[in-house]
Amino acid sequence: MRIEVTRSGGFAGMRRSWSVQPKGPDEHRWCRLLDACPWDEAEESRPGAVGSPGADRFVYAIETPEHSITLPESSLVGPWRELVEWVQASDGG
Amino acid sequence: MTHFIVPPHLLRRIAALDEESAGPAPTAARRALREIDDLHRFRVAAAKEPTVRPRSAVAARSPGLLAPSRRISDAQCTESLPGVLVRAEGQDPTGDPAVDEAYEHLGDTYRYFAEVHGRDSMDGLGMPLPATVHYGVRYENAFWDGTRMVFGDGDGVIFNRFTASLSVVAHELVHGMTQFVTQLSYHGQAGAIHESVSDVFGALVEQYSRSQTAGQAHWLIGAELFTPRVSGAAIRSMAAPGTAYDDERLGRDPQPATMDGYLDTEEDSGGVHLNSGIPNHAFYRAAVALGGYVWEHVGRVWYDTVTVADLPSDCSFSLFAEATRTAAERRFGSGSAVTSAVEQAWDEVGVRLPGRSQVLS
Ligand SMILES: [Zn+2]
Repeated sequence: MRIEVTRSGGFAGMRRSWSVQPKGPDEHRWCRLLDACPWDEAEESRPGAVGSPGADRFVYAIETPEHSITLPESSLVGPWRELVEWVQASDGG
Repeated sequence: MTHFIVPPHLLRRIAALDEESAGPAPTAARRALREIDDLHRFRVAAAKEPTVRPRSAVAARSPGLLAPSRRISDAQCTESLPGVLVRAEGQDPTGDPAVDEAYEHLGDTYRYFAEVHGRDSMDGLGMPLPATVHYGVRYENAFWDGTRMVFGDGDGVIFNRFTASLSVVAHELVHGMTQFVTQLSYHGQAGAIHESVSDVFGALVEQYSRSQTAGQAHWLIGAELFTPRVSGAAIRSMAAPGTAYDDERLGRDPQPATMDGYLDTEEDSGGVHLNSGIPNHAFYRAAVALGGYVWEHVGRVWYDTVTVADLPSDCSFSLFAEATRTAAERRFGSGSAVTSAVEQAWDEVGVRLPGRSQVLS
């Protein structure tokens, strides 16, 4: 399993990505994190939703074997935020 | 002449009220605000015709009477907005560099628009300038959230605090202005125009505050943002997009300067911070071709384009280029040096203007 988080946008428009490939007993913990995210509800608001009001905010793209989703920074709350921060922390911050 | 009994700042408050609890008042207030806006557009258009209406006749827009209303709040390293109000208009410096830089740089930006374009704040109606500093922990960004400007402290390794740069603070305020005066969506080419307009006026605010000509200016956006550890001059370069930085951790500045390098991507809201290099460079080309103080010629053309031309939400580079040519013709004449410089600049970055034959290779 591979989980990849790509951050784009922001004032500087710099692209950064972080990824993890959990194995063994670790995989369990990651699955629980993934399961906690409301993929289906969020996915519906996908195409134009990134253009929520404002400018220069980050945009997060999350890729897993089963899902791929693009979220505006303002939606990065609860389990989404936890997931992204775990991926970042596991890949050097 | 139309007069409004309820002052605009009250109208804005009423317009923001909930329909259910406040009845029909919010709708009426929003309608009145639209009328004021139309009236303002008319005044801006009228003020452009020196033979029809001398400058002194536009008494209501006399720069001497205009003053900002800055409100700087502190998020205290959280991500909740607006934070605690720490410096309002007229109050003494706090000694906190982020607070005081935001206050000063918003003042410089306000002054530019008031003195050069006769504009009273983002909405043209004197709305307060709300900003929040110390947003998040080591937060490496600045943004406009739709109602306020927000600045992070940077991580200290790559980025300094975002208030340190006048062009960055001005860039964010101009996002607010663009939101108030245009329909531009924040995606694809329209979004890249949104971005470019913020960079263009970010550069102009800086040039005006330093009394720099086109030749003296560095044309960099965010020149104060990188720490000395980064190999780079700034976040963006309008003179040479794609060359602002080249660092082993950050990689190379990805901005194209011409349509040959146009990036088709879904990331970054359709490459808004990437392809903005193209209109940025067009502006730069026209500016240096004319020389002197840029806010006196191409800056005015861009300002007219944003505030008067009715740009559609999905505005393309071509359509925007066409609108700048129209604005140049209206203000300076169709055979003028300014109009020619604007046409030439778009041609040089590969954006096709309708009715102008392109040199085919
Ligand atoms: Zn921006």
